[in-house]
Amino acid sequence: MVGKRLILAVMLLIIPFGVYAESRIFAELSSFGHLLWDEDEQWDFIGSASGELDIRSQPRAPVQARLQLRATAPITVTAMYQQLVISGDDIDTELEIIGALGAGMIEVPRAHLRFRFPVTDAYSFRVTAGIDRVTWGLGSVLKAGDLLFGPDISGEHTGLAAFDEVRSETAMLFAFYFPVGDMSYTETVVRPRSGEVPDMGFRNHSAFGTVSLESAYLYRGEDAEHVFALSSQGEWLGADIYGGVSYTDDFHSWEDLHEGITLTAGAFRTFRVGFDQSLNIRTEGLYSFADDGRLLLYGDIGYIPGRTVQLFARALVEPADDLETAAGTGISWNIFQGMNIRASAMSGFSTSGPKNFAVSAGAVYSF
Amino acid sequence: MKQIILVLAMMLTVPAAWAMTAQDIIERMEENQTHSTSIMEGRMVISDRFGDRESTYIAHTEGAGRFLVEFTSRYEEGQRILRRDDSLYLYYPDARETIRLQGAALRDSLLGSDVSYEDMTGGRGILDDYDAKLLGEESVGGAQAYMIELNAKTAAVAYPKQIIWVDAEEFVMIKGEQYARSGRLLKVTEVLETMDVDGFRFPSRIRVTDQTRRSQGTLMVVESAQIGVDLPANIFSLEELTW
Repeated sequence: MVGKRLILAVMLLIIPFGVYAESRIFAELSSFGHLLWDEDEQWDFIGSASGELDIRSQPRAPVQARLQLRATAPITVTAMYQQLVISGDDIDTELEIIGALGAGMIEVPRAHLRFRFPVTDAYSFRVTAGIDRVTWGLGSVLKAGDLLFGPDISGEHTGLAAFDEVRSETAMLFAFYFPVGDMSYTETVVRPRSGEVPDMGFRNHSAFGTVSLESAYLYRGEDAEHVFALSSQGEWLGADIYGGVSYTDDFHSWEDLHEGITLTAGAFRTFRVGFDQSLNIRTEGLYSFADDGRLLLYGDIGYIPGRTVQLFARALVEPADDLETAAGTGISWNIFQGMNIRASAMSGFSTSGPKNFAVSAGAVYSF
Repeated sequence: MKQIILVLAMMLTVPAAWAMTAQDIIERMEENQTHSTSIMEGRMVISDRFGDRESTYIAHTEGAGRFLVEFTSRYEEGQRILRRDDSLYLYYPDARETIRLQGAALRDSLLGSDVSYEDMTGGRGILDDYDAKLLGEESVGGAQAYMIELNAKTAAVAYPKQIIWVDAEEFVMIKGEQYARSGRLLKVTEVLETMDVDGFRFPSRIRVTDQTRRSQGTLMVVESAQIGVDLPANIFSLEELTW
């Protein structure tokens, strides 16, 4: 059923776009096997396959459009391994194999139109409408300045093991971009929410010397909250140093003002290892004063021993909550142009023990 | 009589060559390679035992300090690099994110090649970062060349020591060797072809071979070049970087 729908969708898209030679079609297929273990001490082996179709207009043109479709067949075959049963001298293993085709899923991560028109001889006013990504704030994973998608990635820890970016959220939005000189701009964003007052806000980003500075404001319609943020990035001893502060308030109560404050800070440094290898280290921290305080720590290490191989390890830790940790490590080998073979392992655990564990291996091919 | 002729010959020829200092030679070379403005289209081919990976790009430059490169090949389409003086900005269209690189990160490999962001985008002049010493002249591939040793003034450069060979007639670099502090040879740069555009001669086909691993190297090719062209007023801006 999913296959038929996907084929129909692809045909409907490719046929009209094929008329316009300047539109380009990109595709990506990935296939992975996953060995999973969870708190119920149950092992699962699943296979997943997904395909992505990306139709883009000519880059640099005054009008740009992009439609991205992602289809995922999450479970092809499930093999459920029950625990080893030890009874007296007998050791028995029960194995049950279930063949199943899981429910497919089609997503639309991007569907947007961008255009710009000149305001002066040098500068243009830019509009984006549709589903797209907007990255606010300075930093990587923990950043107080990201008012649109939040300062952390709570609830999305599974992203840590993926080779893709940790933050990859897109949303339906309308964005208006005004350049202010060469190295500064202001961006206004309206993010509609069904049945709610939309989120509305703006940011101003400037770069001067070795410092970047971003100030932002957002009105969160759903909670009737006002959020202000200030982020900065600079360089010290060869490292990128960045940080931010945000303040959330509904202005209904003047007590406990500090509860609306969130602070983030981070550093990123590249080291040369030997003559041609590199090691990247990032550390970030977040402290929120809400609910008696919340501390989150994030770190990642990337090691690139050669031109085509990358190894990484990442961890997000909440020290005050039983050292709850989500950690992942992996390796990626770009064996041929467009093709990557990947393997990763991730786990969620705390002082009370492991919660889950997953090992994945597979390949991604873009064409 | 023979001695007089020999002395005269030496006075007429040798001083002409040796009158130039290493600084003069490098300045002449950089005049050739630094343009008021330029648009260049090129490709970069990274080779290893699994085959070639090719990326194409279009680069806009203004003087030595401003550089905007946009990758046009399928796998990197829309990725851009903006250099303004000592700051470098990377733009990833999928993430709609601009990442600012400073300090040590400038020496990271570009797309897994033997070329660093700093190598690709230039920026500071050689004499800003290196002390130059003329070692002499020798023939390289049939061309007479000045051999110049460059020793880093600062630790903030990719290579503590380099030796470059500069064509004595064309004032274009034809070979380079990059060394580690220990004296180990890291990379060899060979200029396979040069290009002459409006009186400016510069390398147009360069092979960079990493001597520390079994790679076949990176080939950088300039397919076309326009020099002294009018560029849009704000091309080296965040707005153009992210469009």
